[in-house]
Amino acid sequence: MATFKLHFMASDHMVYEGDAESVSVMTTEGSIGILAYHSNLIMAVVPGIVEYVPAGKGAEAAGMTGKQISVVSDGLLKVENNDVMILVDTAENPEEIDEARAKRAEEKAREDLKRANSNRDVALASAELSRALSRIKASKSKHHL
Amino acid sequence: MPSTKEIKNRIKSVSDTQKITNAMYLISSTKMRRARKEAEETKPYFDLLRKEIRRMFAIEGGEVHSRYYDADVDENVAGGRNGILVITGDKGLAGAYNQNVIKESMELMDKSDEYRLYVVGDFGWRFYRTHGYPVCEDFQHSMNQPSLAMARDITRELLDDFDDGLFDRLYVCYTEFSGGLSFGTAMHDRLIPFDRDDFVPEGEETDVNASTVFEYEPDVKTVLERIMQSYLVGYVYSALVNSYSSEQSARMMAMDSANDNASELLGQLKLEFNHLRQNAITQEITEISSGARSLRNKGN
Repeated sequence: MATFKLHFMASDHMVYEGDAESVSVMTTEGSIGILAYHSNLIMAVVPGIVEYVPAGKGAEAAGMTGKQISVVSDGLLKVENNDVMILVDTAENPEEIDEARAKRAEEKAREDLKRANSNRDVALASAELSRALSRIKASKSKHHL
Repeated sequence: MPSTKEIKNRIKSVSDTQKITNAMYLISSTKMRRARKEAEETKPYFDLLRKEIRRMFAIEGGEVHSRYYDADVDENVAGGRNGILVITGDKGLAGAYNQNVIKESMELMDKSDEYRLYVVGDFGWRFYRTHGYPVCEDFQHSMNQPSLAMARDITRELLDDFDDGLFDRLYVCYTEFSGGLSFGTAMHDRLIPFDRDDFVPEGEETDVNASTVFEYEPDVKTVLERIMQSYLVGYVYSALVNSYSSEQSARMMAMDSANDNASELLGQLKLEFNHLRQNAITQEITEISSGARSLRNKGN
């Protein structure tokens, strides 16, 4: 099957860079599927799911076979001469979502704790913090199973 | 003349303080390194984003109009209703870091007909409140550690207010990090509306291939408006990281000189202490020997 180059990048990490057979993205105009030799295109990506099928030796070496799924937020999709670029604010594997959410909750709780004015605020924030920490712990141990 | 005990106490308290300033120095340097590293990781993304925006302007720029970018706004005239985002630190003890950026924001306020103040960092928050400036009460962010999520929250809140028509232009006052051990430079940038020229710097146009034709769906304006928001997040984030690094660097410098002062003070105190001890010994010997002599004289 014909392939194209895919650069799939989130703001804080590279999700996938290499050959791919197909990719499907949610955009302002609905879901769009892209195969090799798609016409040049620029669209806005909306929060949703990106599905892509990696191809080539690099993908096999990384153990990526079959369809890969990533949950993304707003961003940009560009197709230029068989070279597809997806730029999104955040991209997470489905199994990472809980952890990422818990991490954000942790950050928020720590911030609240710092600026807490009353005993009640402190109690609320530290409860929120310990909840977030145990969620992080739980989701981490899930990965290792 | 202080007693040896008093001097001993002072030496102890000064060296305890020195331990603290030394620890703060080390903490600041670690914090700074971590923030810079995280910012480095996001750089390729925002570079690419900027490049795409530039390309869109280069190709379709002439026909695109939006409230986010406007070629007609003169940078030097700051009148009108302005939103001002000021990025300060959470704590003091960082030299003139907080004062500099606050001074920068004051200048901007003086030029504005009307302004809304958005403050990041507890120090600035307390400062403006105690000095009676109108601060947006529900905009609360501490400068604990800049993160993308935080930049995203800030940008969303600011854009909400912008969409509600609370201000016409948005400025950000932050401290540009100049590397190494130095105070950064406090400065302000206009975030909204964007200056189109920001995206077409001289000499950089060669990497944009303007001959490729793209389809835009649904249209250029919609696509641009959406990615402009992502770009704003990147801008706010880099302002946060720059300020944070400058703050830590300023604190490192302040602590470094506190360390030096403490060492100098310790040296003086030790000298004084030794003088006193030596005097006491000499005096004791004189007393003993004169006592012994008078005893001997009596015996004769």
